[in-house]
Formats: sequence, structure tokens, C-alpha cells
Amino acid sequence: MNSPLQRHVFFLALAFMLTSGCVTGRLSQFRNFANAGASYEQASQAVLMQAGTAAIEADSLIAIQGRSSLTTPEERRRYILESDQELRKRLSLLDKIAQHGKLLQCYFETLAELADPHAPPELETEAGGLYDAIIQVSPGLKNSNFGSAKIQDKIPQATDFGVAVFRVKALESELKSRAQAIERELALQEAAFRAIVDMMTADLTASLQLHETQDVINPFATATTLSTGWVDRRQDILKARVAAESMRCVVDAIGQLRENFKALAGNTLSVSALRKTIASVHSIKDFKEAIQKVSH
Amino acid sequence: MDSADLQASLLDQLNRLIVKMTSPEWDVTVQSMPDKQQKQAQKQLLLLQQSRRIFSNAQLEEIAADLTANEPAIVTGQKAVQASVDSFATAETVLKTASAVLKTLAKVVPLA
Repeated sequence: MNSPLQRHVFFLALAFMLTSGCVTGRLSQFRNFANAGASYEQASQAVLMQAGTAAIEADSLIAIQGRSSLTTPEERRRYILESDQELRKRLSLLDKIAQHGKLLQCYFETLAELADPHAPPELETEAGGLYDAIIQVSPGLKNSNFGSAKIQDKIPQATDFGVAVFRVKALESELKSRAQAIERELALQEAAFRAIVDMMTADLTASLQLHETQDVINPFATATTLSTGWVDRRQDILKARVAAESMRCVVDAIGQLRENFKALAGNTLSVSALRKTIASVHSIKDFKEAIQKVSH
Repeated sequence: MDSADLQASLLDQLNRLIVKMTSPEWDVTVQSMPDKQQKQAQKQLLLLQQSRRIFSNAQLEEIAADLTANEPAIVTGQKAVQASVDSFATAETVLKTASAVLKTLAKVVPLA
């Protein structure tokens, strides 16, 4: 190692090891983030689906219970038609949130591929196309109303964050031009979930309570013999009622994912921060599973 | 409170009342009522649900002035709902509160 040639070869090898290590590390960071995003996306889509189901279910069970108090067919017809109209508006908003979330996930997948130094150049165009699709959907979502104020009014404030220098120039250029805007789109997802969470919790609680009365309490009080599945049904409903209280975990998860994205762009995303997000995503999955057991 | 807070408060009142009036405990209370009162309670629940749906889809800009004009009633409603979701509240108190909230709501948003 004394000759200049040996030293030159050694430093070249070291530089290669370090840079390839960095690239691998960065690649896995982007891949891990995309995976966390995909898990979040999958879980949140199921929650949105559940929100729609809970809204329809609660409304239907209440309508069945109060049907006899609507005395004429005309009164009943008007009630259910109005109800359907309002529920359609709700479902349309849930659909907008889901569509926006799916596009964001596709964008993160593309970003993870773009972190690969051997990524094909078409990926840059693909990322741009996905970004365009996201910003086409977002005004409709921002201007939507749900429960209280406009979703736009619930968007968390923007804070400045930097974009690090990356060896893969396509990735760096993509992040430099769009990271701030993408962070705002994640904030929009967070605002949308924040806006719907109270209404969703009330719908879900109402629907579970009505199921508890119908499937657990009334049979126990009046049936000659209880069905074999009565204990399981009781267990599922009671567990789901507790889970319904933790619906805010969706808001926590998307908030953490947004923070992870800022750190990812600044090349400071830690394993522990990502792990925290994954734990929140698991809470969504637990919530979703508990609820799904009750609604058929 | 600004109009957004008033809207959120009114929706919260409706949500709490819906949760109260769909509870198994409430069902037991309603079952013990005479037929006529039972029907009234069921109708009240339907009206609450219908109003909640309409109100949750309402645009704040369109109802902001009416919300502000009815601020005292909304604030009173908030306290009354808090008291009526308590497990010791009587059926009469709950129904009276629901009726008062619906009355306030009707001044803010067209319900039928």
C-alpha cells in the first residue's frame, strides 16, 4: 500500500464501497417509505370503504326502526329518497379521498424506482404524469364539505423543509421541483381524514349499538334458545365498539407518513420514525379487522 | 365562536344524540314507553338522522350568517346535550333536548 498506484486503487475501492453503500441505503429508504405508504394506503382504503358501509348501515337500521312512525307511503318514499341523495354525496366524497390516496401511493412507488441509479428515464415522465393527476383531483377534495368546515380549512400549516443532494440526479430534480407540493397533498389527505373522523365514529357507533340490540340483547331477552353463534357475535360486536373509538389512528398514521416524507426528501428519515408509522398502520389494520367482523 | 365552530358544535350535538338514541340502554327505555310515546321517540330519531345527513353536507358559506344569528341557542344546546347524554338523564330530558336542537337546526338549514 506504499506505492501511489496501490493507494489510488485502495481509495477508488473505498469510494466505490461508500457510494454503492449510500445508494443501497438510499434505495432501501425510498423502498421502505413506499412500502409503508402502500400499507397505509391499503389500510386507509379499507377504512374509507368501511366509512361508507357504516354510514349506509346506520342510516338503514335507523330507517327500519323508525319506519312505522312514517305513516303514509308518500312520507316513507320521500324520507328514503332524501336519505339516498345525501348518502350519495357522502360516498362521492369518500371516493374522492380514496382516489387521491391511490394516486399518491403510485407517485411514491415511482419515486422509489427513481431512486435506483439504473432507473429508466421514462420514470421521470411517469412521476410528472402522476403528479399532474394528483393536482387534478385535489381541488375537488379541498373544496368538499364534510361534517363541519371545508376540508381545505383543516389542512395543517406548511413548514419549510429542505431537499438533500442525491447522487441520482433524476430523483434529486424530481424532489426539488415537487417535494413541497407533494407534502401539501399528504396534508390534504390528513385534513380529509380529520374532517370525516367524527362523523364516521358516530355512524359506526350507532350501527354497532343497533346491531348489539338486535343480535345480542333482544335474542338474549326473548328467544327461547340462543343460536350457537350468539357468543361469537357478542364478542365481535363488543370488540368492534371499543375499536370504533380508535378511528383517529388513521389521522395519526397519515400525519406520520407526511413527516416521514419530509425527512425522506431531506435524507434524514430514520428507521425508528418509519417504524412508528408502521405501528400506526398496524393500528388501522386492527381497527379495520375488528369492524369488518361485525358488518357482513 | 366563529361560524365554523358553531357548525362543528351543532354537528357534535347531533352526533351525540344519535349515539345516545341508538344505544341498547335507550332501546330498553323506549320499549317501556306507551305506544304513542314510542312512536314519537322513533320519529324523533328519524328526524335527527335526516337532519344530521343534510347538515353534514351543507356548505358553511351558505349557512354562516344563520349559524351566527343562532349562536346563543347553539351554545345552550351544547350544554343541554352534554347533560342529556349522561346515563342518568331521563327519557323526557333526552327527547326535549333533541327537539330543541332540531328546532335550532331548522333555523339554520332547510330540513325538508
